[in-house]
Amino acid sequence: MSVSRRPMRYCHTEGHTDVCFSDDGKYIVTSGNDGDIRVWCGLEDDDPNSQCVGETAFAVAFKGETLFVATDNNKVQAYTFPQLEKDGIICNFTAPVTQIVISNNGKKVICGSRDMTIQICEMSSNNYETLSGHSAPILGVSVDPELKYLASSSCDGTIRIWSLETLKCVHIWSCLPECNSFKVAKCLGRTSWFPTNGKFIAVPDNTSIDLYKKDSWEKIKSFTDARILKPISIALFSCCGKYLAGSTISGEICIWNINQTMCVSYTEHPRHYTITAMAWNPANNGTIAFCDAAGQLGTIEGNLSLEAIEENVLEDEQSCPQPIDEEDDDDDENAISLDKIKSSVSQPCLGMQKFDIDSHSVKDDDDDDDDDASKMSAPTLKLQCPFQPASSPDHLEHRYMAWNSVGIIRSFSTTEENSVEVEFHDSSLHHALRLNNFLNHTLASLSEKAVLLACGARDTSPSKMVCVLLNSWDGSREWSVELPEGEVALAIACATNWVAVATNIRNLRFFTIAGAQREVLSLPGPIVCLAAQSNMLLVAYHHGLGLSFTLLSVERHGVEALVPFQPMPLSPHATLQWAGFSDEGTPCTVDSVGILRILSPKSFWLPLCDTRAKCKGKSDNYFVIGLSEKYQNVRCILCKGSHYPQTTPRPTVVEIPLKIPFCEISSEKSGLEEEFWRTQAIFDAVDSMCKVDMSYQREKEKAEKTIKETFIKLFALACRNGLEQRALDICRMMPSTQVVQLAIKYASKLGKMQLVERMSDMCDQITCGQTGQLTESHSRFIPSNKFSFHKKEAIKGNKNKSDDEDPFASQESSTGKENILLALKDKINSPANTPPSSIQKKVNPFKKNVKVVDSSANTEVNGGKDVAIGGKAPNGATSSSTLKVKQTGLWGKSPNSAGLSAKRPTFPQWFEKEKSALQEEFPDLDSRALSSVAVKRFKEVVLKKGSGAKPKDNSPNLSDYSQNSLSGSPQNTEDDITQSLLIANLQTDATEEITTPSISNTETKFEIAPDAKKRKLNDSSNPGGSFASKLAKFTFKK
Amino acid sequence: MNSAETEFIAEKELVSIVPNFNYEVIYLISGDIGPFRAGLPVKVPIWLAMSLKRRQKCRIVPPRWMNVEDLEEVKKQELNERFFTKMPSEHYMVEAHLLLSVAADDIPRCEQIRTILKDIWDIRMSKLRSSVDQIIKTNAIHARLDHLTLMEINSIRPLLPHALDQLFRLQNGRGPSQASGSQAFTQ
Repeated sequence: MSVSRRPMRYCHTEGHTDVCFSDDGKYIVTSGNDGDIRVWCGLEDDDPNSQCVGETAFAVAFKGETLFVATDNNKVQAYTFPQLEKDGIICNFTAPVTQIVISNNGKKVICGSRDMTIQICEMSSNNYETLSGHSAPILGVSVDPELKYLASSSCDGTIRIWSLETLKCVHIWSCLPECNSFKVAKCLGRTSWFPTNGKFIAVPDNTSIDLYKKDSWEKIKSFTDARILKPISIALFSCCGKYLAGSTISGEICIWNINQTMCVSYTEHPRHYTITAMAWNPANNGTIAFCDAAGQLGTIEGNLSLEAIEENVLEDEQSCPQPIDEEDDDDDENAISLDKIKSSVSQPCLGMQKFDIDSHSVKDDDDDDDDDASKMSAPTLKLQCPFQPASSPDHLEHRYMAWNSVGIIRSFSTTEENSVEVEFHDSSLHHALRLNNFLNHTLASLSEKAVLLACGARDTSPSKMVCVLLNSWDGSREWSVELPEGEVALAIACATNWVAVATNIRNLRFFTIAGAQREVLSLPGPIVCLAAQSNMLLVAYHHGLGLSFTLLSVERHGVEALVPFQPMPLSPHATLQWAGFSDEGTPCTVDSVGILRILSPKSFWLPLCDTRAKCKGKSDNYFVIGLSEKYQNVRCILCKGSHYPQTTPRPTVVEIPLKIPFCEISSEKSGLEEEFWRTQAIFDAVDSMCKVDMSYQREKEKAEKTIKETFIKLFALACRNGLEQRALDICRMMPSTQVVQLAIKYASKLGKMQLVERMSDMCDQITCGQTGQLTESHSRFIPSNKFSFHKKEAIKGNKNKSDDEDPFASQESSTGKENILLALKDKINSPANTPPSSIQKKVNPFKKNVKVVDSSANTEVNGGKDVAIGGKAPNGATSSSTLKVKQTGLWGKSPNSAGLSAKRPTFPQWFEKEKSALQEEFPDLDSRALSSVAVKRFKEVVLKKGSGAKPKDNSPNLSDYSQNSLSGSPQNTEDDITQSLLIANLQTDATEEITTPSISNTETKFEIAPDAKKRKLNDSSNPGGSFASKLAKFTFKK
Repeated sequence: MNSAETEFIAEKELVSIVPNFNYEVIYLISGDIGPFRAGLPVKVPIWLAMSLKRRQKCRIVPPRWMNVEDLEEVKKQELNERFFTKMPSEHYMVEAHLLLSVAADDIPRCEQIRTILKDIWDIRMSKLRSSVDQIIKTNAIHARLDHLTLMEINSIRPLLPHALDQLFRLQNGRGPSQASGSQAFTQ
């Protein structure tokens, strides 16, 4: 039997504390020095039902549906359970009662008092008999299950057995320390009878518990343990009779297997307080609840399978006369129990899952609606009762009825007042409301347009729903509707244009916001909760053994299921704690173990956050009230030591970041992976919000950037660690080939040829898949890449920072880069269905014109308009700091050139065409002079003509231009990026590399200067572009 | 530096508020503030918080240290230590004064907080006075006082250097006379 002791928790003020279980074992009832009794749904219950019974409460006992409480007014008072209403006084004493026991049949209540007497009360007749004989206050009493004898212990140091027939003392043991008052008595000497037939009585005797046979009062056996050094105060048989528990005055609790006289469990109180009371859970024999003198409650939970216990019970019954003689059980069982003992010693806190189930199901016990069908399928499971998202339980006097992004609804139901307060976060939406809660509303929901309240059925009045409109324009401020007889509202939801209510007969009713009735739907199972936002309704309900959900879209014309009825994931043994929508409208849930999940558009649920992991304290919880995908955080309230926030002082909302539960989350790799996938997960929502709300544009860009950055970092990390295959895997996950290109570049810088080859293959496949043609351009793509490697070999001497940390630590010596860019360019053009021939053309002017560049660069310096930009080029090449500035300038302007220059022939084209004519005209000029003349001529002839002419339809020219000049056309983002990088490259390369196209660029750019600004603005709104430009900048900084 | 200036500096400290309006990010020289989302806490400088609070546009969330339990602890420590202890905030006095003056309704048990803060202040000021006393009496060249807040320094700054100057002058007044005496002697 492996056991674990749950941490002690406060339940009463310091002093004698008593504990008992309800008959079904679901509730623990405690009484304490503060005069309260508390009803706990298991140890985890943070909101025990509390009732003040007097100045001090000394003892509690439970039987049937009655709770017996002994208080300082020297009476034993009966209370109904669970209502905790007074149900008559059982008996009167002249001093407080110290222990109450009830016979198994519930007919007799036996109380021991400080006035040295014991009373036996007949419940049916209200007769009572008094036993007197003790010469000091009674400490404890116990009754023989066969009602033949009664045992009592007293401060006079004796334990007496009384015959219930003759009311005479039949036997006395003097084994207790003497004292003069119950208050100072440490050792209570509480005895216990063998449960089924009372054949034996267990009597604590100093550090051991002795077992005496009934009638003969012979000592049969003694239970002891080497670890017990202090006197045992309480002995208690388990309900099955298989185990005997004993607790000492210094907080040790020992459990013995009575057949084997073996200690199967030993636990110590962390602070060694005296144990004042102990009780076995009647429903499952593994659990003991106990209280200490400091008013704390604890439980010990053992991993006893119930079947095993039942067997044992049978066994015991069969061998009733002499269960003790059965000591030699078969060896197997012995061996097993030895193992169990070992495990109990080594791992005292494992194996608790079984009882967790219990503690959770206990919580939902108020679920009395008729769920017969599901009860039949799972007789042991209690279904979660319906709830409103972000509300606290309705038995509290001050509670939250709803807390969402619109506002807060609080309910105050004390004896003086019964009201509902509605407060809006945004005071400009509506002023705060205070409504009198005459109807005793328990459900509430809030939207920007209305406050919806609903109450259950009462004696005469049916279940009713009231809707208070916030911005009505016709003067009718509220409407209400009564549900048909027998139908009770269990969950409600309020959206902007409609409201929904789910009822106990599994109807889901819709109303318009002003109260017109709409559809009535049938739900497949008992409702758990509803959540609404704009036009969506999330319905969670029981189905089979788990929860299911559906997402409905409530439109003007009708209701439609966006996600059909589907199971909803929950953590093991967890219940649903919150359901709602993120600000962006994605459905999400939180379960009772704190896992937040969102419904991805691909219709599966993703765990996005473990709120419990963020708590410091063990019993702390986050009360979730909302989720923002934009800011990637969860809005919640930290509840210290409870599940629900207090109403006063007003709790503060905290925002905790989302974090997908990845493996090894502390490592750098997992951190990046987590960021990557988290951003992916929320990207869709942010993207779709972009269309509605412009403020999301920035977030979208940020998300895109994050995805790219994390991808590159992950890739770089994999590369650095030499995990090339993983690097390739990462590449495969990346949808955008543009970033893959950067990755290829990085890999090639690192000299990972094999990887680069595979990546380019992969790129091929991707683009093949995308376009389904263009094989030619691809075949060209790869060689050009390879080409870059050869070149790289040559310049390897130059680079020394290639193993730099940063993935973009590329170098100025960028011959390789240039080629990649060419390749990239290739690829980018290819989707535009350009014929291969034109691509061929594209490269040619680049090389051919090298000569021309030389001349023009020199001659054009003073050549008028071109100076401004043309003159900068050499500067940029030499100084990398100015380069950056220049680069941005070019970047902003360059794409523009394409648009306008396409209207007229570019210089190289023109020069090509006119070269021979010019040569004829100026035969004596060398090539340099010739080109300068040509440029002048070009300006005179072509540009002036162009500027004079109206812009025409330029589409044919455009494509032509984009292939013939390297500036390309600003057709898409990728193009822009390539350009920027390309231009940057061209600038960094030495002057001899400067090409005519760049001149044509500058020229046309100059012409269209006013337009450039506009273009720049466009660029800034272009996320991919800005990212690339930053990359480029970064490159050059290095 | 007078107390108004100290207060001005302290007003730059950030404090959490829960606004009841929506507004986008405000770009200030000292940094961006916001966005303001109704019902959700946001950090703003105290001066803005006070202004919004006065217009009933927000609820102020008291700083983490501004509760009775923590301050009692600080007070106890301050009493027990011989030297100055570190205060929870560099401008604890000013912050508390400002926030308690405008947002008493947002801070639970504000009267108690006020009392404890006053106690802490008194303890520290008496420590400061006694150390000043000590430095003058022992003719020490320098004294080192850690964890003094700006307000506390400024409470003594207008007086102490001046007083020390005066003392020095007095001592010097005796000095030259001796010197002249010695000169007389040599003459």
